[in-house]
Amino acid sequence: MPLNMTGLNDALRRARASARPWLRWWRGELQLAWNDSLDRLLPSLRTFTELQPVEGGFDIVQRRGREVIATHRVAQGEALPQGVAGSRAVLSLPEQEVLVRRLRLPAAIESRLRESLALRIDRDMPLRPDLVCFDFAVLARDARTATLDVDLAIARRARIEEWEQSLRAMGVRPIAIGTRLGASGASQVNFLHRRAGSADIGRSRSRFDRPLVAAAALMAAAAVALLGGQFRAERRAMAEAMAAVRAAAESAQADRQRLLEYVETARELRANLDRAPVSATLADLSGRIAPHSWIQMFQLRGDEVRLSGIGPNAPALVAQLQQSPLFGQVTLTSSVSAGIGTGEDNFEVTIRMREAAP
Amino acid sequence: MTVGQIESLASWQRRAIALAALAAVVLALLLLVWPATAMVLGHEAWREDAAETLARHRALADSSASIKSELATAEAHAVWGSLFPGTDTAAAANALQSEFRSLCDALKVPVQGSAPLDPEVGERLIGVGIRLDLQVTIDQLQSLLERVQSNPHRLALDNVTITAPRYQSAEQNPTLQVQVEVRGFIRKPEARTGAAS
Repeated sequence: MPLNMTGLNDALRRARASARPWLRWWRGELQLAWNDSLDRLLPSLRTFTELQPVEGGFDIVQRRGREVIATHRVAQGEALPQGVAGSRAVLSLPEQEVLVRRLRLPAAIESRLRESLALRIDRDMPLRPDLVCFDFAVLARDARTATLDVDLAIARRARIEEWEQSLRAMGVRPIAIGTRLGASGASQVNFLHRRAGSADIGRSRSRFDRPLVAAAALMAAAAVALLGGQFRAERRAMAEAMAAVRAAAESAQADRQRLLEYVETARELRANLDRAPVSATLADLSGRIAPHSWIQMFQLRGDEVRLSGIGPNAPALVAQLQQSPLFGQVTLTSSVSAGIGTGEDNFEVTIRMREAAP
Repeated sequence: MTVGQIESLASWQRRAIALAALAAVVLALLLLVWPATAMVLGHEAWREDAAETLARHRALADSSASIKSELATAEAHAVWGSLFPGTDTAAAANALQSEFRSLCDALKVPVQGSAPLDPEVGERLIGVGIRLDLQVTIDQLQSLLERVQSNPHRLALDNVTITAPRYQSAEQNPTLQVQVEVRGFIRKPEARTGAAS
């Protein structure tokens, strides 16, 4: 089924158009919430000074957000009151220094409004764009007629720069130089935001941002696709590599297991055979029994040997047995005279065998 | 609900709606980011694990030939001939008894008595044994021990008690009373898969 691109495009446009007021309201509401939070938590960030030039001086209003903290009037050259010096300052230009035009424009150009206004100044007004600063405020939007009501404010660039310098000389930090527009003066324009006139042409945010957003979205999609593709390819390659070696590995593993069984069985047999080394013990013992000493009983159980016999010097026999590499601890457990005048003792000796080397 | 309707709500209601919408957006982002992060981390863990398994399999496959060769050597080793055949303990005990009696007969050593011992079950081997009472001279005992050591089926001696006459002299070769436990070994039935006969 062919895709109806025109219908899709229209649907998207309608969705965007219906979402726009919501988004605008939402942004404004969040901005208010943010400002209120700042007013409560960090009031110094929301404190600023409004300066209004009057004859021979300035009217000064100190504000925290919308709240007025203090008002002053200072003459030209007079020192600024405490709290005003060093503060962030907003200057309202005298009316005669700002040219304001109300325009009705198609709503479709809203996303490129700054660029359109720059072109309009260049085309319709006897002003050189590089010698002026301009800003604007959208006063109303009419969805029925798809138009915007815009106040365009224009001021001489040289004059804005003079004001900026003089504000700095007074000891305040200018953050805005402009005027209030609209019926209630609710919209503040600021010539410091964008001092460029003709430089704005061709460098509107919308023209820049759209390709950037599109490129970012494209790159994100490409990254996801690339990552997913890479994951799948890796899993496939790993599965293939695993399949290639699995049979051989399993066979080798089974062989290895059998080999280990053989080794362990041989080790167990060795341990059983070495448990009581009868021949070696008897051979070693017979070489260490002194002449005239007689063994009457030899008993080997596990790693313990018990001897009983008769001989002339039992301690000497023990000393001799202790020399054996097979015997560990040799203890003379009893030694009793065999009879008066015999010169011999009945003895019993217990020997603990040394552990065989593994 | 239109924007107009929202704007007609109380201030706290508008604020609540805006913040709830923000929370919903953050949650939606998290729901995207979380699974994506889990997927990437999970894949990393899988890769590490799979690479290790593959390396182990390859190493095993590479050493297959040498393992086979060692296995063949082990299977052919003479030590397996030193075990009694089969896995039947009674048959092995009989074989052990007749084998030991043959050794004694060859040395003219009288067997005064014999009794079977309970099988000793190890991890891979079962020891079948007999207890024997013998009367031997020291020379016969020495020969008997030598023959036990060189017997094709390996025999282990334990609990040996040798009693000599009270009075002896260097010129005599007295008769000794010997009691000894002799054990031979068979494989445990389940161990045969590993150490194939």
